[in-house]
Amino acid sequence: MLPTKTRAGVTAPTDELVEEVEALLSPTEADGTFHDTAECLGALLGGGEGLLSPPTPRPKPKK
Amino acid sequence: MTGETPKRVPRGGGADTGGAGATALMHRVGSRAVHWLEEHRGGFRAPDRGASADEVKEFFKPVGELALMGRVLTREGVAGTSQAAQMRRLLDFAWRDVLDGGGLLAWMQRGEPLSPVPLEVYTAFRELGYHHPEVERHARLMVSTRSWQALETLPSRRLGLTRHEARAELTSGTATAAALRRTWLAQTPEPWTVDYHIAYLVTHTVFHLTDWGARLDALPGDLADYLTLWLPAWVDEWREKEHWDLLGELLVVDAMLPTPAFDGTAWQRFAEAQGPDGAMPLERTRSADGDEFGTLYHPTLVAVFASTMATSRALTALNGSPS
Amino acid sequence: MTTTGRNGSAVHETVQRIAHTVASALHNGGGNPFDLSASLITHADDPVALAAARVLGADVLAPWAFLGMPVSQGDLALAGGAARAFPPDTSSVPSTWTHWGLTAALHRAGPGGAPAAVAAAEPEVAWAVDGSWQQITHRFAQLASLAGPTATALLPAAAARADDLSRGFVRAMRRQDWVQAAAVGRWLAAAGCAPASLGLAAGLALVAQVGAGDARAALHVRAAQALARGER
Repeated sequence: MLPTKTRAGVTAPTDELVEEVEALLSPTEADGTFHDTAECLGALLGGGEGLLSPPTPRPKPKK
Repeated sequence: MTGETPKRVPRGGGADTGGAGATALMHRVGSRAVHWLEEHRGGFRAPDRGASADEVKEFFKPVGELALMGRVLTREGVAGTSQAAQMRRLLDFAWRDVLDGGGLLAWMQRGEPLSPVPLEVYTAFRELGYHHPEVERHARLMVSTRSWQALETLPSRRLGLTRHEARAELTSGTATAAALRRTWLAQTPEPWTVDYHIAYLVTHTVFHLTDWGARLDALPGDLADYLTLWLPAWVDEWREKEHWDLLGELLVVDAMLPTPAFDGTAWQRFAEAQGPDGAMPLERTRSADGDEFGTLYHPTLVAVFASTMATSRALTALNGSPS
Repeated sequence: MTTTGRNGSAVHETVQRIAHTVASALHNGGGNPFDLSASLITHADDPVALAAARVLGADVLAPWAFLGMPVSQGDLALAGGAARAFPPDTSSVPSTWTHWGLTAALHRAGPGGAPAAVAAAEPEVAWAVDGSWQQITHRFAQLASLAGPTATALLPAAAARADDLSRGFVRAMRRQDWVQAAAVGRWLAAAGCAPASLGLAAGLALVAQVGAGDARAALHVRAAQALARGER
């Protein structure tokens, strides 16, 4: 759709442009898609892990 | 915004539990979780004696954590009669059948004299009235060594050990303040740096400091203020990410604050995530494959913890008594 | 560059260019003369330029508002043209407030550049009282161009919800929504009552470091830093 000219000779914005402006003025939130690497799955409540022993592998939940 | 309309969060952390319905919801999570734990108590059993040291260490943790939750539940006294009885049967089973009346802890002490694991497991059982003199004597001896006091570990775990010693009446607990000062939480750092790992450091620090909810006034005012400010943001994050284990621990911390927020949306989603058999999945939804005790027991214990503490605080608030 | 904006990137691209130019001016403290319309190299009624200026609202005049830099006739025409070409959608809070902010800034910057009508009364702020912290964070972020040296009713409304906006800042940072984080941070800087433990300055510095992908984030950070320094 071609832009139309007003009487003052100024090009009036198209509907698409107005829509785009309004969308940019009130954007919706982007999805939060960031996750930390879950190294320590099933983290313990009480840290009952033996302090003198190396960390033991945890059961991994199946996705 | 996400598809959900967030329920109004009371500002300033007011004890707006949304009335009896919300309290019932929180309570039900715990009673259903206890039911699952009793149904699946076989998962707590020790591996065969021929198992590797790693496998044995793995086994002690669930038992120790079960005892901790049993202590919380009996202490708070908000479980219904049948849940209290279920828990008592579970604890008897854990102590007598699984730990051989404590003998298995003594066995571990003989094999690894300086390991703190036996003490960490034993302390909650002791508070519940189960005793093993040899285990206690050994722990008292080890705690008095320079080596024990010099053990290098994460500050939050050091705080935990200091509290275990005090709860087991092996030391006076005067080292608690210094141990707290070294934790991440005590520095009140920037809240937007709290990732998955730091979030668990925060929850464990609060659990240890308060002796798993027994001493809420052990939480200093500045830390209570800090947590009141930032917990809502962390609860929001892990609710949205549907990590029920971490969300549950954060809800426990909320219930330990002077004025809990009792986020209605978070509790609703938490309760909805719980399976019909009472198990709480680790995150998102439960996968449909076999042997899941290893991944389900922990978030389900956390559900007991969160439910018990929140229900207890909500009832206190309803009665108008000082928290 | 299309005139209809059907290819969305044309307006978005111009928004980025303007935001980058303004952010640099705020950061450099007024060292170089500022003439946005000249740097855009466009004719005065280019609809895409006007659209982009409308999106940024009062911020096209931020170097004047924050640093007292002279505003060019071309920029007054750009801002005035934007206000005229894109009147507010009265059903939209961000549309009404950003339009009001643009015309109010025009009034102050150069009386001859404003649309014929005298600036209307401020739009309403009732939504800031009852919304959840997530909702008001989202809303205030959309209105960040209003967080400047000149106060509106939005400022005490933000101050009254400072704790909640701070939670919103944390959430935006964790979601890596750098534009929202910077925009909310700008409100907190304007109100001057973010809790100390928030570490707002460090957070904004981090956004400047990692959020360079969207120049609007940089703009809000530089504006927030200028407000924190107490400029103007």
